[in-house]
Amino acid sequence: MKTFEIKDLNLWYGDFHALKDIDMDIRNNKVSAFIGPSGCGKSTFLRVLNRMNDLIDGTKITGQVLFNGQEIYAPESDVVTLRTKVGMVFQKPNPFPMSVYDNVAYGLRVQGIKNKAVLNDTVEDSLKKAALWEEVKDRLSDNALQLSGGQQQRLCIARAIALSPEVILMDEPTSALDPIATGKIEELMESLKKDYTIAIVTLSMQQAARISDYTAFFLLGDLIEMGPTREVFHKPNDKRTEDYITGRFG
Amino acid sequence: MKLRANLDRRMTKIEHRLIKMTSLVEQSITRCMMSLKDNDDRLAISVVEDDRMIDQLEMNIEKNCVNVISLQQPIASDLREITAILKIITDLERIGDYSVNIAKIQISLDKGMGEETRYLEAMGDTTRVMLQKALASFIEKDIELAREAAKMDQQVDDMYEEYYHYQLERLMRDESSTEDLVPLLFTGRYLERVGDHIVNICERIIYMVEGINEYY
Ligand SMILES: Nc1ncnc2c1ncn2[C@@H]1O[C@H](COP(=O)(O)OP(=O)(O)OP(=O)(O)O)[C@@H](O)[C@H]1O
Ligand SMILES: [Mg+2]
Repeated sequence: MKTFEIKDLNLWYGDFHALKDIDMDIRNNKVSAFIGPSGCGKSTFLRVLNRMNDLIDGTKITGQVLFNGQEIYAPESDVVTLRTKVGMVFQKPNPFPMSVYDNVAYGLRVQGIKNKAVLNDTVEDSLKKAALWEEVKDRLSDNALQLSGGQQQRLCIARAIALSPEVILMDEPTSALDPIATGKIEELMESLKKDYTIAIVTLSMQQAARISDYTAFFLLGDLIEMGPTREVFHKPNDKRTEDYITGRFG
Repeated sequence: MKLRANLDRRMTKIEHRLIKMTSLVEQSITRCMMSLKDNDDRLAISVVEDDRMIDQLEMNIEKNCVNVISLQQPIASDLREITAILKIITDLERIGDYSVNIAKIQISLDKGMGEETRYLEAMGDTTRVMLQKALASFIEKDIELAREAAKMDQQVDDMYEEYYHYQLERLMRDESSTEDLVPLLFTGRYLERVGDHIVNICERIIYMVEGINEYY
């Protein structure tokens, strides 16, 4: 099953052609990793999937982006609903300056949910899924900014999970974390993929190889190839992919 | 940008050692066959003694490969090359052992080789050519050459088959020379096995270059 089907996608920042004729399927309940050199368009592409580029002036998009078969750039498509279904976690953990509990409950309250029991359950459940519950269950009212970097990142994942998304997008979610915190997030992704579809941008080849089912390689706005991670890291189809992942580039 | 200078340096070193190991093994076959042909025990003894160098190179290359895997985390073509080399050295080491077996047979023979020379020499020559081609295919990353070498194994098998029947007949006819015929029959068997190991090597080279398994 395909969660996203992208066809002939092009994106411009003003005159700059940032994504070129991209065709891609993103399969459900799998981890898809996007790799490529800095500036090749990985983050731009990730933002296409929940229309975060709409917030940037001067962007122009053509082509099709189907989410569960529906065009997300259609005029009748609702961005707010889309972003609850397609959550995002960023490179730098960005908890709100409020309690751990309120961080996770925030999105639900915005949706108008006030029932205390529902909120409690969802907060606990989300923190458990994000493998953070045991570490914070006694400090739910502490300010989230007191948590360690790795804990903050898992809190951001819990915040995304609380909205029951189908897809979680992650842009270099571990690049600011130490190996132990990185290991926890990687384990978490493995457990999350039974309930969610995950797309992750990573600068670490090893990370892409370890955690993803599919790997896509971008270069200067082109999608060079996408395939099962096992194949891409064993015998890539394109010489440019081979050169990049083996460090022959440049 | 020299991102992989360290990896390249280590890979080149391993490749050079593998080439050295292959040529030592090739010499080992050449010399054990020559010792048989010339009934030269001194040459045969040197084959047995020099086998230690082949064993040492095998251990050394293996250690270097494991270091590259743990320290450089090679992927794609690099990983295929490392894993291919790890398997190739096992086959090379085994070929070295067969040469030693043949050299020991020469030492044990009373009279030296008789009429079977033409069979065994032809088998020895063919395996040597196979090994040379395999080595060239590794260096050039030329899989056609590897396929050619692998296919030559059929000739070795056919020669062995013929030789086997020839010796069997002699065994039944002439009982006085039975003692020498049996070890010489073994010599043919060892050369036939050498051919099989070279086929393995060719298969690993094809895997290394193409990422696919082909069996011969
Ligand atoms: N808001 C923007 N306005 C104009 N150009 C932009 C904007 N955002 C990104 N770009 C350009 O688009 C290209 C792709 O950027 P993007 O952030 O998607 O790259 P990336 O692959 O995520 O790189 P990195 O690995 O460094 O994060 C770059 O050349 C970048 O300069
Ligand atoms: Mg980026």
